[in-house]
Amino acid sequence: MKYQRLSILALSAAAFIGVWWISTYVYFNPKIVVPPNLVAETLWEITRNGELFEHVWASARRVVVGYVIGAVFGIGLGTIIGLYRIAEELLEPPLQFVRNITPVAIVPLAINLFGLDEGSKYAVIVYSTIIPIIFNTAGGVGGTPQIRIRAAMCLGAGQADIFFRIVVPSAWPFIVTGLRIALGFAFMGVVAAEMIAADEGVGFMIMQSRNMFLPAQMFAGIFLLGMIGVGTDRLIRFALDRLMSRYMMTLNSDVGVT
Amino acid sequence: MNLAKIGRISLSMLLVIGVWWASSGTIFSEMIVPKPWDVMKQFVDMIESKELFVHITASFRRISVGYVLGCTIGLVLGMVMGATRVTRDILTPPIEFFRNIPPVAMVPVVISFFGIGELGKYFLISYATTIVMILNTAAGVSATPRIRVRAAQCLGADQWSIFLRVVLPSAWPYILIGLRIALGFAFTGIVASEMLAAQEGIGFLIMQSTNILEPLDMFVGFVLLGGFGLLTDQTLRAVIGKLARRHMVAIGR
Repeated sequence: MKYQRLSILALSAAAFIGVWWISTYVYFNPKIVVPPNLVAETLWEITRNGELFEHVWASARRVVVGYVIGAVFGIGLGTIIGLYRIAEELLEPPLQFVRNITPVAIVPLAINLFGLDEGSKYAVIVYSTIIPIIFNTAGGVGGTPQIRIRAAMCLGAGQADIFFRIVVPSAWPFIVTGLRIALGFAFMGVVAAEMIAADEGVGFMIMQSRNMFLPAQMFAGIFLLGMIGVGTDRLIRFALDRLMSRYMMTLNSDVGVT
Repeated sequence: MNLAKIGRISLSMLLVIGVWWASSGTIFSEMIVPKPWDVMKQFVDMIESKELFVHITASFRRISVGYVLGCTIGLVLGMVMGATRVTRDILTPPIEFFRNIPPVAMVPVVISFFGIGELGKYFLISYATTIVMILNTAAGVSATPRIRVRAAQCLGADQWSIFLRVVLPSAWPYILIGLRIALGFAFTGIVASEMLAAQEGIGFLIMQSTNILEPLDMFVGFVLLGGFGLLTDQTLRAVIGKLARRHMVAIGR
């Protein structure tokens, strides 16, 4: 049973590569659709000369720094919005407005504010991650069932007890969902920032290969992005499932609310 | 009640504009963050010179075409994917792969494929929306409670009416959520493709303004994006609320 599923998955992946390969012959212009073997060759080459590591490291460092800052401030702000009505009423309308300004559009402003180096990249990633985290945290904290709070109060819990033992566990699944969505946004932000202004990173690699007419390297960059995305998503899903198994039965991991 | 709400919202908006006003020229240079009043003036100027409409219609046309196309394809593929376990396993690897490639990264590929014309923009927005729709539709279809399907079978329903009367209504809430998320992705896609290769559109307006050192245009672009997004999202939400009332008792907010 398990093997059957695995073989279907493997077959499908093989078919995907097959279709890709055949399409390069149909299209008959390897400058535009690069055959998979050439992409693999390029990947191997840049792995050997260390270029791949350099780009992946640059992007990963930016994502980690920006994501951590965004998560800390996002959870903090979201908690405040969820706890206090005044904060919600003051902050919600502008946030509803700002959330529609996609991180991509922020890149030029970030460059104007923080210059061309790392500062502007961190700013873009913080911006991309903080919004979904604020909304999800506020939703979770604000949605704490009143009955649980009342029950705790009846049993003589103090403010701090209620917060740490009732509100945080109730909001946890929402916060975790926000963290997962934000990771996807962080990748989008870093690629956008690197495509527009950087001298290393996966986004830079893709954009530069286009400008220098190196289609194989461009496809290698995209392939790399897909693989990194799958890898980190799996990793964070695994970690979060561990962290949250106490608080909820199932996490429908495909559907998220942004 | 409603009046009080409007009052609170405008108070909070005023506060934000106040902070913006105070920080412009003090913390941030006016060449980077211009005063709200100047942005307003530029906005009105651009309405008068009709320049604004050129950008809005360009982006709006691209979004509508790409969004409709992408959502239709995503809906069909999502249903196929959610229908059986085998189709799900077959479609999972490529879709898992593509969902992790943000639309922004596809811009250069799209330019190589389609050039810098309109077709590439339609494709990019379709790409950005299709994946979300596939995932949500498939999740909705495969989450159809087995008991409903069995009940319909017991009552003698054939495959087709089970699909139309049981599976589709059960998946409906998921599909509608997908439509809303996809709209956000469509906006990201359009801005990315217009920033990197276009002659008009909101994304072009924003990118162009850094290149010609005209900070006002950029903020006009932000206001447009925020307002436009808010408007379409609220409209979609209202429509969804009407459409979905029959099918979902509680779907959250």
